[in-house]
Amino acid sequence: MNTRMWRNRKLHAGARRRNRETALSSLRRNWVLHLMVWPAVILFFIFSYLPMAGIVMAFQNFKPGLGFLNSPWVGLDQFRFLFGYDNFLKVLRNTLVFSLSKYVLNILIPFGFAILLNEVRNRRYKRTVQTIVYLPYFLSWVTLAGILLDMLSTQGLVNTVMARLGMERIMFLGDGFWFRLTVIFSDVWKSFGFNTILYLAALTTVSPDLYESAEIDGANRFRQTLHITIPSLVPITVVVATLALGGLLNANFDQVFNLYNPMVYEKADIIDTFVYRIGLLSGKYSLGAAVGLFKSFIGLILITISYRLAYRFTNYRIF
Amino acid sequence: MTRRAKTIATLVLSIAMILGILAGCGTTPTNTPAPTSGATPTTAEKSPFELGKFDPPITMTAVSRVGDPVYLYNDTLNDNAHTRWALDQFGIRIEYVLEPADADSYRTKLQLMISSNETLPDVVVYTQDPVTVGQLIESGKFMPIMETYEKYAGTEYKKHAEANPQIFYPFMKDGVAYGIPILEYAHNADTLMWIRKDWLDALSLDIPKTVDDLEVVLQKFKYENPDGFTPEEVFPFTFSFKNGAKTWLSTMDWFFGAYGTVPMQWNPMPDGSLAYGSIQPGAKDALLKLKDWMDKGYIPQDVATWDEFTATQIFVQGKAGVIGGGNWVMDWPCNGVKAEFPDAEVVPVGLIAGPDGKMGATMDITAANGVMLINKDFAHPEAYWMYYNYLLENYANPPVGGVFEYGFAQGYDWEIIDGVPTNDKTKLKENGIDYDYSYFNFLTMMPGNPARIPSSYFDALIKLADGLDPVTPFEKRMAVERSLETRMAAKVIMAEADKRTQNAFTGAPTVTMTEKWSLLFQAELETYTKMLYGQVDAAGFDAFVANWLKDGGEQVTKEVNDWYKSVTD
Repeated sequence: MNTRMWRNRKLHAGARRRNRETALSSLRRNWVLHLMVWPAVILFFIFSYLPMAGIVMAFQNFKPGLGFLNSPWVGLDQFRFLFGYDNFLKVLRNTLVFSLSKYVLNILIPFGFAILLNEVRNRRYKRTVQTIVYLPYFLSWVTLAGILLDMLSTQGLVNTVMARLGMERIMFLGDGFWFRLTVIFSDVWKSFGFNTILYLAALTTVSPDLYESAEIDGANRFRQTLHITIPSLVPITVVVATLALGGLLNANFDQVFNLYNPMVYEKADIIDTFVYRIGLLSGKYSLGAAVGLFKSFIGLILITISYRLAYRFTNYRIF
Repeated sequence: MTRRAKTIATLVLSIAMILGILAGCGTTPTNTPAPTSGATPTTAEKSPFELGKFDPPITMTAVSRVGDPVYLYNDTLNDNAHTRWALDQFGIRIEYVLEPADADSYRTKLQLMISSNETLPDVVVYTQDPVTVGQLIESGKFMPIMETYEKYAGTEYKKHAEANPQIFYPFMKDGVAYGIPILEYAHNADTLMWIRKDWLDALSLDIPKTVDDLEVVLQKFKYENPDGFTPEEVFPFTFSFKNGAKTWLSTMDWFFGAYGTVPMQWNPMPDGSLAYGSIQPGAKDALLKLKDWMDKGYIPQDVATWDEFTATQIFVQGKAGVIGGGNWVMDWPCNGVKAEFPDAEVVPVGLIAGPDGKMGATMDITAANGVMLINKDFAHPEAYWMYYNYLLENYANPPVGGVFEYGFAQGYDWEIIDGVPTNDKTKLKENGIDYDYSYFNFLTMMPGNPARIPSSYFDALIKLADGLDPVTPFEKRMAVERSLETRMAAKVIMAEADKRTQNAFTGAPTVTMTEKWSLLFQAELETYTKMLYGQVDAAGFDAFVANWLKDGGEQVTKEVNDWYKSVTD
């Protein structure tokens, strides 16, 4: 105990001293580290910050032949078109239906699954299950959509089995309600295995001491899960939930685009597919930029809010 | 001291790295050689165009064909049978500066090039969407082509262009044409109904002539299927609605034609104006009929989710007996049905008549596919014409004994085998020449035949269909390449050409079209598919038409008609 306190004091003293040093001497001392970080900083600058200048497109009527510099400025026209469109609210609602459901399920299911898997004692079985459930993550949506279109067609595998069992055939991809379910569940199915890894990793850091002492105190497995496993997963869950909130307006273009059809536009059209059809296919890049900016803006607000909430309720700072 | 030196060294290094990376990102310096001004015409001498050859040779930068190129022998992108021929024949050194992997990356590359002011190739061919063509023309980097057309276009080309001046319309800006249309076979995009003749025969049914006939046929196909499928397995009439009622395969325009309208195009009305086909009352009746057939199980329930190719699969599997498509569907992909059902006989059928005796379908005699744009800084626009004229006159329909009688290049697409010249692909393969279109990266990007005379294709097919022996090398080639069904289809299509309607609007998108068309078209797709399933009824269709007009359709119609007047006067 004593030694640790003493070492801490020494560390703090060191930090204070370093604060007093000038930037230059810090550079002199750590020049190798600087050298190592610079390429990353530069790459980040070039590929993430410079392109931000493209935001100007959202306020122009961008024409490839004229470029950023000469395209005419149109103020907020692109946003006016977007929000003025009758169906925009519908499109926004579809986006939120998809993304919120995916958001909640993609946290809850991996969370629960990780806890269950953590209880499995047989290592080999655990590994096998883990591998099987995270494999779909690596399929591209183009491939998977092709498979789903075939399996869920009215003459497909699923419907054939259902018909044999005496059930009605369902047009999964031609009916708005079933289309939504298909999209949400196929997304969760595809990604829950991969998302589980994060929670499993967090569980490996839980000290076995805690479980041992809980056992001595007479807690059964269920109690242990309730009072040790779940609380120790809360921080990582908060991080995941907060970060994922930023992408709430991304309902997965790849997936919806490859699965939808005019029959279900009303319940399936999301912001990205809408912009693709209305904007990109007819060369309206500015509309695409405006939507991108709008989405980032909402994302920023959501992240800020959830960051504050996370700090207030769990006293946990993400960054 | 040494510390400082180290610091400075670090800074210098870092800056060097920044610069290095930046340099990589900047616009690449234009290292494509400027076209060397070829033969400086001295007084009284003939121009290279008249001579048919540049001496000394000029360089022309260009775009190679999209896709994975395959070359024979030691050929490469810029040194192959085609480029050597161009250099030898015309003194044109074709240098491919772009080699697109696929259509999307080609489009992106072109857009990047015009927005970053990169030097574009001397000749740029584009065969995809009109939006990108519009952007290219708008960039101001290409030259107006009418003057070169007047001066250099060959007789074959002029013959077609004068009869069909509308081929230039899509490439006009402010009344000036900026692109040289690449000719395509006429009627190649015309569509018709195909039917399983062996099923008809087994059920002793006649070829259907009306929609009512067709209904009986469909009913029998489903409930008395000659191949023994149960009614639950057979959905006799397949098509695709995902991208609209008129499309390139599994299309339905011929069916709507029976109700007096061709959808998704602008049709001339009795009063001389143009009207959009999809919103006509006839379309509603056609859709109601289809809904009825859907309820009766004649149409696969999944058509709304199928794209054009997917819709053919049920036909190929032998579980559908009626499909729409062009003259070539039995060359690909519907010929697949013969793999499993060798006795399957699929025949093209003439236009069927609707309840009022109306008939119709789409037609394409404009026959242009893609466009050649010429860089305004290119000093020798005549070079492209020399090349294209020559191919049109000598390769497109080569005479007996001509240089291209058997193919483009000996050892590539033809060879003398056992003393006999042949272009039969199987024979070539046996002799170690595995023919592939991409051996020759022709400037026009047309696979197989780079220069196509619009009338030649159907003329040859009909001749063959009539049982005449192929005489010209082109006819011989068609006799080898095209199935009997394709020849019959050509004959059927031509016999009813007067009942078909060509899309009368071929101009660049109008102002309101650019603004509103994608939304209008979306409403059309939704209404059409939903009517199939009864989710929208007849009143819903009328509401769609009213909204369509209100939301910009009326304005578009006005603009299209203004354009039509301006070109027909």
